[in-house]
Amino acid sequence: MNISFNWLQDYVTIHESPHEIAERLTMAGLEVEAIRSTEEIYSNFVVGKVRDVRQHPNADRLTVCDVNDGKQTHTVVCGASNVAKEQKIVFARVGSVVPVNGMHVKEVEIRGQKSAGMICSEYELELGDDHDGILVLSDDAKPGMQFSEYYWENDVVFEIGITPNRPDCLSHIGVARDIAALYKRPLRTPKIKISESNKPVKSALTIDIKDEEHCPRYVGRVIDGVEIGESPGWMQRRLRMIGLRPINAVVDVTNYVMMEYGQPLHAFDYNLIQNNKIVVRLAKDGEKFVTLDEKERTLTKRNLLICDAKQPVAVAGVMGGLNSEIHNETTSVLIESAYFAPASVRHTSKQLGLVTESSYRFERGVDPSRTAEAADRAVQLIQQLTGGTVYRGRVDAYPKKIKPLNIPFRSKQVERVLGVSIPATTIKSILKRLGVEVRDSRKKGEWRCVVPTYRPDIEREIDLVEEIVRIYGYDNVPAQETAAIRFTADDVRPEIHDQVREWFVGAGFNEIVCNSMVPGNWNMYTGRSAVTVNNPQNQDMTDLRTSLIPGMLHVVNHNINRGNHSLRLYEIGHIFSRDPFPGSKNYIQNYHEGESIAIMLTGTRNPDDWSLKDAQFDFYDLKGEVESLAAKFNLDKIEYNIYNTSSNTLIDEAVGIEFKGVSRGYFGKVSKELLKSFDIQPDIYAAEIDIELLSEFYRIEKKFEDVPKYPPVHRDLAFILDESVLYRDLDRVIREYGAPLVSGVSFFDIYRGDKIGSGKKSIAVSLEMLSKEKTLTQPEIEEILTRVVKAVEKKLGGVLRS
Amino acid sequence: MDINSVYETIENVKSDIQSVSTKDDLEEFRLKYLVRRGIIQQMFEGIKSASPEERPQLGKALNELRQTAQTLFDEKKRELEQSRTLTADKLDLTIPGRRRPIGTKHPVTQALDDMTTIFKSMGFAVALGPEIEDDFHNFEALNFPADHPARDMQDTFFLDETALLRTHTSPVQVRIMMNQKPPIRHIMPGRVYRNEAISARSYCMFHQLEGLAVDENITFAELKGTLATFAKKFFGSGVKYVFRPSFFPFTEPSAEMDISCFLCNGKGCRVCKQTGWLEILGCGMVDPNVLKAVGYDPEKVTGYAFGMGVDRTALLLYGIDDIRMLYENDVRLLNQFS
Ligand SMILES: [Zn+2]
Repeated sequence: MNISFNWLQDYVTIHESPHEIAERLTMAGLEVEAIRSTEEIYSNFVVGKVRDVRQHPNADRLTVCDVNDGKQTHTVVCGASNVAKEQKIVFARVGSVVPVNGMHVKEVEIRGQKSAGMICSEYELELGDDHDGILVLSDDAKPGMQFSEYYWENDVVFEIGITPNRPDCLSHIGVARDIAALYKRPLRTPKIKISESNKPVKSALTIDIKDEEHCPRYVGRVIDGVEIGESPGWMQRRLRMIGLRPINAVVDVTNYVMMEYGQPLHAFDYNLIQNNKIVVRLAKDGEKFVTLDEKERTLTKRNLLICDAKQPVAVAGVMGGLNSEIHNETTSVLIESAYFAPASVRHTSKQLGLVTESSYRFERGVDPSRTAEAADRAVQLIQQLTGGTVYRGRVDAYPKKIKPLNIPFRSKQVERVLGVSIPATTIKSILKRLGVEVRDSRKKGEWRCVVPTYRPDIEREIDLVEEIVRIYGYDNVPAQETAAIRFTADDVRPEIHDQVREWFVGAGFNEIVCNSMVPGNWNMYTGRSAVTVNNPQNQDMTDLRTSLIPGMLHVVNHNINRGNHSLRLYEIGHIFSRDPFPGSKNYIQNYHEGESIAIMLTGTRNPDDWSLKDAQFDFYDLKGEVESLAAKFNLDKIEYNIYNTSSNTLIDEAVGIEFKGVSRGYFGKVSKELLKSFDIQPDIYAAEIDIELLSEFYRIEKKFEDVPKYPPVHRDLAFILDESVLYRDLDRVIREYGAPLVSGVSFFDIYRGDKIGSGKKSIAVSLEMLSKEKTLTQPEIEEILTRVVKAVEKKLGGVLRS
Repeated sequence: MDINSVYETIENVKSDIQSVSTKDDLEEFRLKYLVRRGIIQQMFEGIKSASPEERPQLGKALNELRQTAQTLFDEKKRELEQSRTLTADKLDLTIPGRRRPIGTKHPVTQALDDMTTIFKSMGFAVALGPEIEDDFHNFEALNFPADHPARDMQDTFFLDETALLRTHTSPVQVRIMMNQKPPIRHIMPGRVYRNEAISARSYCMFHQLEGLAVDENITFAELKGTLATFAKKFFGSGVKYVFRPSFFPFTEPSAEMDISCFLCNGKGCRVCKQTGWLEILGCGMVDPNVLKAVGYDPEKVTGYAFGMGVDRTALLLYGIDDIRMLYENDVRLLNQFS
C-alpha cells in the first residue's frame, strides 16, 4: 500500500520527519518497506523559462533554446514542436536522472550544437503518456523553483507492507488513525457537506438485496447533471503520488475515496441501469458477464452479482461491467458503496483470477459502519468537481446490521502472555486510543471491550493483548534470559541423521541437496507410482521424486560438464510414492513417504592419492562403502542378493540389500539407458538405502567379549571352481566345515585364465584359525585345512590349487 | 719422505673430498686416508726413517694432514646424511602425501547443524515430520481459515484437493502437540515448498527451522530472551536485535526479529538494502486457536513458536549471492565447506 506523507496530514498533525514516522509505523507492525521522496526523484528538476528559441543550424526538426533556471541561462537542444519563447517549462539540469527511464542528463553535443540540460515532457516526468511535446506550466510558475516543490509539494510516499489482518490500514485515514494512536493525537476526518436537491433518492433508486449473507449492506446515491472531465490537479497529483493513473473526474473520485477511507466504490452510468433498480443476487451456474476489462466471465452460483432490473451490471466487489461503465457522455451517476462478505469476494476473485484494489479490500474486510459516509464523501467530491444535482438522501439497504464486538477482557492476561506487567491505566489508555471502548464488567478483574467495526481482526482477548503490546512497544518487553524448563522422561527415538552424515564426512563424501520436484521422466526407472503436483511451476517439476538417484545424476552431469570428474556424493532426502514401499510411512491418505540415503561414486578413486592416480572406481568400491556403512550401524544381519531389476531399471546388475527378507535398498552400476538420458559418459556406481534400516540396530546393547589370549594363525588357500559357484558359497562352506576353530575367512584374489581353463576361476582366501584355550599346533592346523579342502571339493566341486 | 710430500697429500685430500658425492665415495675416501693401512698412517710410519731434526716439523705437518682429512670427512659425512634425508634413497619428503578425500556437509546442513546445536544446548529436542501434508495440519489447525487472505502469504503446491507439499515446518508442531501433552520444547528442522518463481533470491523449496515451547508460564518475554540468546550465540555476541509486530495466523501476538547486519555492522550495505538490519525470523505466542485445535487448554498453558529460513541465513553467512547455487551442488563450492 502506497501512502502519501502529505495526504496523511489532512487527518493527523505530524511534526516528525518522514523517516521518524516510518520507523515508528514499522515498530507498530506497519512495515514501511520503502520510502521515496519527490525531492530525491526530481532532484535537479526546476521550473525554467524559455528565453529564446532558434532553429538548429544543422537539423530541421530541432531547435536551440535558451532556458533560464532561475540562476543562469543554459543553451539546450529541444526536439519538441510546441516549445516557444516565454514558456514556463520543467528544466532538467545536467546531473539529473530522468524518472521514467533512469537516463542521466549530461552535457552533450547534438549535431554540432552544445546542449546542457533538457526540457521535459509529461512522459519523462512520469506525469502521463504524452511525449510528443514538452510540458508547459502555467504562467505563474517561478523560474528556479524545484519541480518537486512546484508540482508535488515535496511529498514522500511510503510503501507499507500491510499484513492480511490489517484491512483498516489500506487507506490514508487508516494509517493516520494508527499514527494518531501512537502519538496520542486527534484524528480529523473529512467534514462532508452536500447540497442536495428536493428530489428524494428513493424516487430514483430501489435496492433489493436477495442474499444478505453475501451482501449485508448496500448504499446507493444518485447525482444528476454531471459533466465528465478531468479531475483537478491536486487530485491527479495525489493519485499519481500513490501510483494510480487519473482517468476522469468521477472515476478518480471513487479511487480517491477508496484510498482515503479504504472503502471501494463503484460508479455506474445511472442512465444505463434498467428500471432504476439494483438487485444483489447470486449468479446462476454458467451465467456469462462481460467485465470492464472487456473479458467475458463465466460465473457460478457462488458468485455474487449486482444487477439492474434486467441484467448483471457488476461482479460484486470485484469489477464492474462494460455495460454500465462511466463514459464521456455520462450525465447521471449512481454511486455504490457496499459491504460484501469477505469470503465471498475472495472466492469469486480467486475463481475468476481477478484481483483488484476493490476485491483486495473487500476480502480483507472493509468497515461496515462507514459505508454511507464513503458514499457521501464521493458524492460531495463529484458535485464539487463536476457540478451536478444530488438526489436527497441515500438508499441504505442494511438488512443485517453488523454490531461492534463486545469482548470480555481480563487485564491480568497481559502479564500472563507477555511476561511484563503493564499498569491498568496504561492498558486502558492504549485501548481508548485504538478506538476500543472499555466498559466495566460485573465480573471482578474483567472489562468489556467494544471494538470498532473497522478492526475485524480483533475478536478475542488475545487480540486485545496483541494490540496493547503493539502500541506499548515490543522493545519495552524485557528479553528474559532465564527459563524454567520442565524435564520429561519420554522415550525419544534417536535421530541417526547426524551419525550418518558424520560417517560420510569421514569417508570423504560431499553432501548434495536436490529438488524433490522432478520431471516425470525421471520417475520412469523405479517402477514406483509417482506423486504428481497439481500446479507445477514448470514441466521440470511435475513429479515428486521416487528415488534420489536421478537427481544425483543430474548433479553428476552438471559437475562433469564443469570439469569435476571424480565424485563421491551422498544425499539424505525424502522420496514419495502413491504405493507403499519398504520403509515408507503413510501420514496422509494415498501418499507414501520415506527417507533414503543415496551414494554415488564415479571417476578416479582418489585424485589426492598419487599412488592410486589412475585407479577408477569400480563395483567393489561401492560395495565396500555399503558394507562399511552397514558395519558402522551394526547391520551384520543384512543379506546381499541379486536385485530384481524387472521393475527398477536404475541399476544394471544390481545387488539388493535385504533385511528379514525385505528389500531395503540396492546398489550397482547405473544403467546405460539412464546414463544416456542424463548425457553421462563414464561409469557411475550408485546405491540407495532406506535410512530406517540404519536405525534398526543403531542402539543395540553391546556386551564385552573377551579378547582372545592366543594369537591367531593364518593360512592361504586357492580353489579352482566353476564360474557358477559364488564366492559367498565358498565362504559359507569354509566357515561351516572349519568351525569352530576357523574364526575368519577373507577374500584376497580372483584369477581367470589359461592356466586353469575356461569356465573356471581361481579364488584365493585367507583363513584365520584361533582357539580360545591354547596355541594351535601344526597337526591341528593341518587337520582343519584338510577338512575344509575336502568339504569344498565335495560341496562345491572345488579343487585346491597347489 | 719429505715435508713437501706431506703438504702435497693435504692438497690431495682436499681435492679428493671435493669429488665425494655418495656414501660409497666417502667410504672410498675413508679407506684411502683414514684407516690403519691408509696413506696417512703409512706416512706416520715413515717418521721413523726421517732425521731427528726433521721429525718435529714432519710430525706437526702429519698431524695437520690427519686433522684436515678427518675434519673434511666428518663434514662431508654430515652433509651426505643431511642430503640423504632429502633426496637419497628415493625418499623426497617434499612430495605430497597420499591424502584421503575430505568429506563435507552441504552448507544448508551445516547452518542447520549449528542452529540445532545451540537450541539443543538450550533444552530443545529435535522432531521431524512428513513433507506431504494435508490442509488440516498445514493450514486449518494453524488457524488459517479457508477462503482467508492469510493463505496468500504462502503459495502452495497442491497434490489434490487437500494434500499438499508443506509450506512451512509448522505442521510438525501440530503433530507433536496432538501426540503428546505439555511440556513441549522442540525444534523442527526440515524442507518446505513454496510456489514462488525461481530467481537468485528465491527457490521453490528451502529449509526451515521451527521451534515450539508450550508449558505453564511461558511468556513473550521468555521468547524474546530465548531468541536473543540464540542470535548472540549464532551471529556473535555483539549482534543487536529488534522485535517488531507482524502477523502470522498461528501466533498472537506475532513478531519479526531483525538483527543488525553482520556484513556491514549495521552501517547499511547492498545485502541489508542499506537499512543496517536483516530479517531473520518470525515468531510469536502460539494462538489459542491452535492450542484448542490440538486439544490443549489455553487457560492452562501458553506457548511460543518461531521459525527461520535456513538457506537464506546460510547464504548470508557464507556470502553466496545466488540461492540456486546451493542446489547446483558443484563440488568446487561444496569442497569450500569442509
Ligand atoms: Zn548490511
